[in-house]
Amino acid sequence: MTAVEAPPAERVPEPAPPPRPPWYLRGLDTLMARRLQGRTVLAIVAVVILLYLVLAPLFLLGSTSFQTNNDNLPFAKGTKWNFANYRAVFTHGSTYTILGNTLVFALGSLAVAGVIALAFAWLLERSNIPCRSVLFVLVIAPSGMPLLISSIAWSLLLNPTNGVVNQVLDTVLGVKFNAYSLPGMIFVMGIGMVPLTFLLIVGSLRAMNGSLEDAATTSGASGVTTLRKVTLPLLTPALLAAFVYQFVTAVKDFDVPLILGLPGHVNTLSLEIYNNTNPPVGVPSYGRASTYGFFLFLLALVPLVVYNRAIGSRGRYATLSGRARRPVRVNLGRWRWAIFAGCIGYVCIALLLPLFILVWTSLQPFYSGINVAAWNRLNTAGWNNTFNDPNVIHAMKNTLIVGAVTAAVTMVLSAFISWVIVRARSRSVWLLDMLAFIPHAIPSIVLGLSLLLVYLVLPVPIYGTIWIIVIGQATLFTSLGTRLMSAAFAQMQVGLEEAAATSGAPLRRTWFRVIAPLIRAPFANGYLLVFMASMQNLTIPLLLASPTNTVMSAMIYQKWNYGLTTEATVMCVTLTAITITLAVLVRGVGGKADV
Amino acid sequence: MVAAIEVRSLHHRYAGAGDHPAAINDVSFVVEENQFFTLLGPSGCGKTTTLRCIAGLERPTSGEIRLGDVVVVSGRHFVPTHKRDIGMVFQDYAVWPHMTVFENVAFPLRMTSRRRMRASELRGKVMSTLELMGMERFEKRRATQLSGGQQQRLSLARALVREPQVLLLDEPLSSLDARLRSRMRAELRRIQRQLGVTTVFVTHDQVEALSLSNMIAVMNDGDIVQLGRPRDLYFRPQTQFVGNLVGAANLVHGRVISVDEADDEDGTPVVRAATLETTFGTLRVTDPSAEQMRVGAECSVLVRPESVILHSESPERENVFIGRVELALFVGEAVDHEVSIGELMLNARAASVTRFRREEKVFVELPASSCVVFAE
Repeated sequence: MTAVEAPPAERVPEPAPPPRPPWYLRGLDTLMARRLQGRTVLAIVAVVILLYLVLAPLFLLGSTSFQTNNDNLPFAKGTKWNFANYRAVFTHGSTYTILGNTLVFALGSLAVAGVIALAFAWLLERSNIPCRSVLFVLVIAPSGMPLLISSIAWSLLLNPTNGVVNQVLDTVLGVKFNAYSLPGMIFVMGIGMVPLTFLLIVGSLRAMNGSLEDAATTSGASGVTTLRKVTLPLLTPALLAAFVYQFVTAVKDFDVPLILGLPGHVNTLSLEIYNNTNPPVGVPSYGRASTYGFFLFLLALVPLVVYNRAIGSRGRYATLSGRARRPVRVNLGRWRWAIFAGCIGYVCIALLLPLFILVWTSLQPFYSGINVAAWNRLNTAGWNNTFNDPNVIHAMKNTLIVGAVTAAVTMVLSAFISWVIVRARSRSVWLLDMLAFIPHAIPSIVLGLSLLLVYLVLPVPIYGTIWIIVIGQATLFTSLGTRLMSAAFAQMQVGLEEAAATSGAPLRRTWFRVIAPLIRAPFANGYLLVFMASMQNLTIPLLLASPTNTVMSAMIYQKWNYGLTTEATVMCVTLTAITITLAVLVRGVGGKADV
Repeated sequence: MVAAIEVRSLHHRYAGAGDHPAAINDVSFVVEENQFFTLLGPSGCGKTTTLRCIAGLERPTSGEIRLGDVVVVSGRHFVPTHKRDIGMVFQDYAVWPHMTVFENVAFPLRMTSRRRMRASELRGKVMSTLELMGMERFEKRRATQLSGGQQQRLSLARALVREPQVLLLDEPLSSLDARLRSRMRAELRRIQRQLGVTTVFVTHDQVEALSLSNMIAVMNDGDIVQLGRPRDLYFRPQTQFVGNLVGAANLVHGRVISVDEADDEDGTPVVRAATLETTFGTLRVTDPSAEQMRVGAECSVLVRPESVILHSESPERENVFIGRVELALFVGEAVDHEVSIGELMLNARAASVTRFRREEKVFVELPASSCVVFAE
């Protein structure tokens, strides 16, 4: 009855262990052995799609940089494989100027953004500055304005001929700034990076256990000493992460160099790639562009990889706890309102001034600064003309379609990839993890160039359509999407899915009935974020532009480039209004997701 | 009759070995129809992994598993979880927060019934299962509006609603507070008896294991170290590990000086006995496992605290030693004593009416039949 041993009659011989598969099948075999069929299929499909999206462009980029031929096209007739492009790039003195410019631009903007963001983070989280929630919104509000648009605004404010701020400064102090210079670019980029840098820092400051700081204060340390000896050292890993991330953001940036660097002859790597693909005269030299592209890719990839390794080996500081308690706020005393006024002053500079000049310019027949004559010329003709232009309407339609489809494709792909990454315990997951991470390190200018090359070579008829933009942006935003969805899956108990399986639900129905409803909120949040990022993105649409697939960002640049300032600013104001609305929606959905 | 579950030479090793270091080495057992079978062991012993292999949530490296007459795992053959006739309750309940109580329980029926069930039939089945759990009042509530104990019942209702061949319970009581846990324990047993469903239960709590099971498999490091009925495990553990795991234990070291037969109470000479030399005198033990004892062998003796008898006057019997009360803790249902016999410290549990003072002299009796001997 107790039947401790199995009936011996039925004993079947133990099956021999299967032979060890060859190396190239080993990962696959683990996947197959670990999990059910549906899961395996999903993992393989995810890997294949990512391989196509990520590695195909990079492969084309790499191989093009080693090719030289008369047509300057990849894989054209008479292609020679050699290092000629590299030799040309390395021996040319301007390369080193460009590299220097890029580094100064990135480090300078990082310094500006870092100092301002850190100050705001400390003030809002650790001091008793008034109106904290209003300030919080105001600090991150400028993120609704794409860098393309803020660059245009600052060009209107700080150009040496008739920039409004320059006019004021000239009459009052007798000095002028030049927006078309490295300091000008650093200023605009730095201000533009403040919102995200702030969010990254404030998040880790919030997660930090406040009793560590209270312990320092009760040990007799003053507010400043606590900040210097406890808060900042504990925050170092998080700060480093934020700074590496934002350094890469600045290195990759193309909008600011295009609007401010190009007229000022300040060349950066991203601008040089563009110049080589869209030269003012002559044919594009894709080989040279690819070589620069490869450099830029490495310049973005290396810091991120090095940082990830460092964090991985050192482990996190044990200060991050789920239920962090905020420490006692530092009393700013009589400086309280003065500092508050300073913060408002910053918001005026970062947000209101650019918005004002854009609106002002959009109401002018032509731009001539601010003066009485211009006041008398105020009218809405520019708005009427712009919105009656079928090309503009077409571009708007394209923008919405590209945004909606890109967001859908990106988020669906990200949801599946993240699910496989988080749920599969197979060792081969690192491949997927890496593939989803790489797009973050691919500068959009490099991806744009690479996609151009891919669809010049591949016989897929999407060149010049909006679908090539969708593919490019989906690739670009996959790392954002997977990061959001991985966090969502990590928070969701595995048991909820396993319970569906033990209730008899196959994987497909588990997805529809259990997983999909549970990830709805983070999915919607991610959808809006990607939608917004897609609308703000200039580089991909500009590099892959054709007369029919123009989107708003590309059209703004074209109009600006042709000197159609009024129409450009009308579209700038429109696009900013849309993205700020979306940003508010994101906060709304995000808020609901927390409940 | 075919056994309800048969597990044969199960081996499992995790690929990514991150979260679950546990591996299973050659686990075999059979669970009879209607049995309440428990896998008991410390964390990381492979008990949950074994259960997950039965559920199909893990695919074992090798081995064979049958549910009734269906082979679900064997070599290349693997039946996925959703095609196995099982119901499972998870440690963290895993009730779906986006569904109502009713929807949670209806889910397995919607997934598994071959034909489309009529609404009234579905409702009838769900409601009768909810009634069994005393949960019918909460039918329309969202799962997130339930307390821990209610979520636990809901989770059990969901596992039982499709009348599975096998019920799998993965530490279902461990997230509940102590009072609720003992109530749910009784209820779990009542429901299992009532439905007669074959149950595999995983726990690290010996009280749960002893009180609920027909049969317990004690696991350690991926092996079953002892398989038996609760009383056998408690009174006749085969290893020190099992002895310590299923209850509090005193361990005494000694050396065998003679082995002989002793008469059982009704006069039949069946039980073997041994005399041991210890640091505090000679100790007689009557233990079937003493058969393997040889004269001169080093061994240890296990005595449960409640088997140790404290006397204020010498009862003039064997195995009585003079000791001193070092500590007496009145815990309500009993008094826990720490008693020293020379260098040796023993725990003794006595009825709550017992009153020994600290540092009082006592006669400590270790009844020969309550001693369990292990070779060292």
